Amino acid sequence: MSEPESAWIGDPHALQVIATTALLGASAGAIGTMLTLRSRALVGDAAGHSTLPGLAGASLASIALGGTGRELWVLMPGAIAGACAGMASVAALQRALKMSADAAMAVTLGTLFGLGVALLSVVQRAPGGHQAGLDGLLVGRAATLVAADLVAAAVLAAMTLALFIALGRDLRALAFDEQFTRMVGRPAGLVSALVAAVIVCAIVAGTHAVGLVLVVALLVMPATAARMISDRYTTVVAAAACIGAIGAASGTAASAMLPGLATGPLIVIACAALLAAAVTLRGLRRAVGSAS
Amino acid sequence: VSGLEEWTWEVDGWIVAIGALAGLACSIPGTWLVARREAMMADALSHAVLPGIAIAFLATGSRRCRCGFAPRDGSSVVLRSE
Repeated sequence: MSEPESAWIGDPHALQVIATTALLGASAGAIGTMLTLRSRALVGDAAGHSTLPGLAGASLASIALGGTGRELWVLMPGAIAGACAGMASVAALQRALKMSADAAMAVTLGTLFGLGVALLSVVQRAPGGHQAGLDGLLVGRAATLVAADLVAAAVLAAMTLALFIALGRDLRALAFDEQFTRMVGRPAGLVSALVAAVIVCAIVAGTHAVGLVLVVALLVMPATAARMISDRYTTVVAAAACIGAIGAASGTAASAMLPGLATGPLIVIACAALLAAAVTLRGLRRAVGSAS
Repeated sequence: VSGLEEWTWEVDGWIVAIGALAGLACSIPGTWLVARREAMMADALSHAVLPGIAIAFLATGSRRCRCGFAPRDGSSVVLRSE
């Protein structure tokens, strides 16, 4: 689990890791548009941080039942449950207690992440549960991505693509006008739930690549950058997928070439650089447009 | 796991007092953020502290100005920079 990043330079394994993170980046970028266009970008942050209590709780349960505390088939349902709890909590606090969106997200993020860090220190002190490799999930563990992770990333990408192909018109309507979606008789609640499910999957998968603390960047930055280059919905979604894939692949490649630098943060920095490029491009276009 | 019998006012009393003061210092400006619906600003700012700490450490090689306590059992997970 604690394999150093530099161990995979020039390894064919590196290509597999790059393919995995690129697929993750493309899926997260595309589905991230449904967060940014609805002004809910930080829900991704709250849900990402909320995976920690789920992961730590699942690990604790596994250790209590005599396991190693790091079986993926135990940890993944925990992470999914945590992310769902985070998203549900944000919605419930807003609806039931009339909290503003920012306060609901901050309260959810703080409470669940705090609970997760507390549980994590219990896991680390549990007999046999030393580390359990869980702290790698905070900032990602891209160097240890295996073939199964590539399959999971491919499944996620297929799910995202299927969602956009099957429900593209509904997603577009939902992104801009939820009331309209309901008025024309489309199941806005169901579509929202499907979007939320894909976002949860992207977050849980992204946890391995960039870590649960930074996974929000993989969702939000490509979508924001894409919105800078285009005003057309379809173009924004496609561009977000491309930017996410390029950012994730170049960040992973950079971390393979620069030993000792963790992959997750480099992916996020690459996405930030692409965002800066998109902002510059928009500025140049506007300057040219107003000059002519 | 240490219990209450290991409590010493000379050490633990100060930690609790500093924690209480930090809570006080944060919650008062926090009302401003909540009223202005900018609660997540606190999240953004507190995370933005990290590169500042890293740059200051690289520049000076010293951690002496660090404010805050690492738990005595070393269970600090997120900001373990040693």
